[in-house]
Amino acid sequence: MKLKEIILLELQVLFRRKSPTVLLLFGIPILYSFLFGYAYSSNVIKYVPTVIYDQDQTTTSRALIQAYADSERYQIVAQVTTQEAMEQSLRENEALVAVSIPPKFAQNIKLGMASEILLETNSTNNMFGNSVISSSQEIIQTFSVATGQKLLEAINQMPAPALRSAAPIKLGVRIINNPTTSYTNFMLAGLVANGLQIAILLVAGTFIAKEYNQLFRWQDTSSASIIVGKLLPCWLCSIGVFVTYLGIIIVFFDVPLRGNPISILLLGSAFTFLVVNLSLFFSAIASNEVSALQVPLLYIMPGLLFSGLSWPQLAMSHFSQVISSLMPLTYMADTLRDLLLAGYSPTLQKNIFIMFSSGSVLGLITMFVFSQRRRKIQYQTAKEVPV
Amino acid sequence: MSWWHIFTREIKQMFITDRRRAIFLFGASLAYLILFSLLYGTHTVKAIPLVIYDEDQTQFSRSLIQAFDDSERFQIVSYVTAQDDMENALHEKEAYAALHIPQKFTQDAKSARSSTVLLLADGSNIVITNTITSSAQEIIAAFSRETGARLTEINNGQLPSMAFNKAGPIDFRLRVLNNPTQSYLSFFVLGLSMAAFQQGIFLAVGASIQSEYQNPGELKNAHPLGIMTGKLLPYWISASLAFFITVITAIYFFEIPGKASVISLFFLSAAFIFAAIGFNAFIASICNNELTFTRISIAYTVPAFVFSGYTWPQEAMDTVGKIISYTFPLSYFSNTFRELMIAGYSPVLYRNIFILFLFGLVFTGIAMLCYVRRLKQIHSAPNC
Repeated sequence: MKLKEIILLELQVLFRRKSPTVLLLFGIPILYSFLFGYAYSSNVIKYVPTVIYDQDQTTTSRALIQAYADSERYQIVAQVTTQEAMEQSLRENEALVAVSIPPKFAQNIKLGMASEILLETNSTNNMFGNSVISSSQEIIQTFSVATGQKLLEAINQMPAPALRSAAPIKLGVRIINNPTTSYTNFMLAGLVANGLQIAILLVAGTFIAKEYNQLFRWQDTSSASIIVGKLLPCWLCSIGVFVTYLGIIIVFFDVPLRGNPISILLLGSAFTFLVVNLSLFFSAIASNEVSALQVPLLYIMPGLLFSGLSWPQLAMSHFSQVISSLMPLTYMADTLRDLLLAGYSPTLQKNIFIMFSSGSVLGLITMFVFSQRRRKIQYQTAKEVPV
Repeated sequence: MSWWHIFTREIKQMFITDRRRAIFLFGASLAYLILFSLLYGTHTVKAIPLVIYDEDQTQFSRSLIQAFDDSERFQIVSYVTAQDDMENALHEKEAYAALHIPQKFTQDAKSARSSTVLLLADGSNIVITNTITSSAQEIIAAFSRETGARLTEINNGQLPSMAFNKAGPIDFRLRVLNNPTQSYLSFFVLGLSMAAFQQGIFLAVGASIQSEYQNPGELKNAHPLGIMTGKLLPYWISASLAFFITVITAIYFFEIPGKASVISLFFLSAAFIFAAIGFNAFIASICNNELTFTRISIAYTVPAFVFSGYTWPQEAMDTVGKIISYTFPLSYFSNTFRELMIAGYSPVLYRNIFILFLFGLVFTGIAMLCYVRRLKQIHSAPNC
């Protein structure tokens, strides 16, 4: 068979009328885009349930409570009157944060003795912990500065200098690329890239494994043409899926597109090229179709989490970095996010090169494995049939 | 065939004929546990590369830089002398944060005109961004307070301790319960391991259910209830065993806190495994072949994990997200399991055990109906 015929044949398999596999290829990433897009649609954690234990009951303490009530991060769900009730509501998860204001809070401040408040937060889920720690620092510091200003005014300073003495150094924070630290911008593109990777594995994983049972179909065809003929249609469709899912997350979930579309397309092509080759490789070494899918199973979640998408490379140990370097998503997820959010990625060319070259190497290995196994099977069948 | 025969036959299949099943069941959760414990072994993000652009170059500005240098969260990678260099360092990812100290920083701060330092942080990875903003806030607040106290001492003739209290009259003590260091290891690994555990159950039970479609004659005269009990009970027992092996490994080898009581863990895991086996028996019984089943179960893993509320909490999902989340058995298990392990207590334990048990009951029931019907169909087909 000629290469062109093989490609047409494979396209027929992908688009055959009865249960077309191309649906799987398109379906999973599109489904993931919508599912995760909706899951993260609130972008940041807001309205953390808060319980207040105010032992002071003065204007000052109520002003502090007001500051919490005004922040959209918190939602005051109850005011309690005992320590036990406060701890109880944290224990029962009715509240995830408790603000405890001690007795004589206002008095101590006004006497210049300083006062402290206690903030308790339940951090079984780190997401809440992070949100509470950073926003509380902000609220209490602002409040403390305002109070400090009044105290200094009381000892004969003018209001403006009093404020500047109370807070001589201010911190301006400018978060670039993703200023609201939106979770959608942070995770969605990479998470769906993982979906694309899974879809490719599920579809291309069966391609070669199934041929070992029907080698007679390929009698006059070279192994190279078979592999290339199987690679090309699947790769082209995968690029199509990549473009589709990016379109969805940009249009429906407002993920910014600041980078050059052509470099993004190149990155996507390199990534899909590598993953298709990897799937074909798994397929070539597997004993049957089902195990061709089960071999890469161990790799789904690690592929995502070792990629540096959420847990950064700089926090990994050397051993983890080695594992990380084996995951295709490592070369894709972070770079794609940089291109989308910042419009530029310093590792773009390097990663595209790595993905294309390791994909090609894998392709060659697959060809070798396939032709060896094919020869072995043909040899065995030849022996079984008596001349 | 009595249920006992099916039961022993199943055990033989699991450990001898088709060893894959035992490997999935016992291996998946352990493999994930080990892999991710290694990944999150550093617990928190430390030593974030920081670039300094100090336009002031005074002793005072250097003491601020020293404060950043002393923090284990930051690691100063370079000092630059131009705005462009600073932005370039962020652009090229040589640094994830940049501290810009303006001209006349010392003069302004010490003459009570107040001064602003600018912190630039890369926002694309929010794990890094959160660490940068919260620790920088802390450092600057402490530094500012100390400076304010000194100003008050000088300008208002206050005694040092009084001045300190007036410059920063309110202090806050933060007590982070259950996971005080915000360690990723305690937070994340258990749930990942449980996601794999669920996957292991799926593939093992799926292989078992599907295998009967190939040679359905053997179960011809068995009672439907007997078939279900005989086929599923071995997996339930083995999965419970696998669960406790994983928990023990997590506690003793990876120092993940284990405050849960054995009894609560037993009931929770028993209910979850029952639900997972039932749900999965149902899916497997309606799939045409093992290939389709494997595809479905692999595509299911990631959404089930994300929607379980294990990382992005259920409370923060919108209505659609919440509804989807309620349909996954993992949602009732993984959060409660983490609460039990880390806090030793979960307010929704009994409710979730009950829901999971119901899940299991309903799905096992449906699975039984589908399965027996399907087996009969295959029996009556001429070639079997």
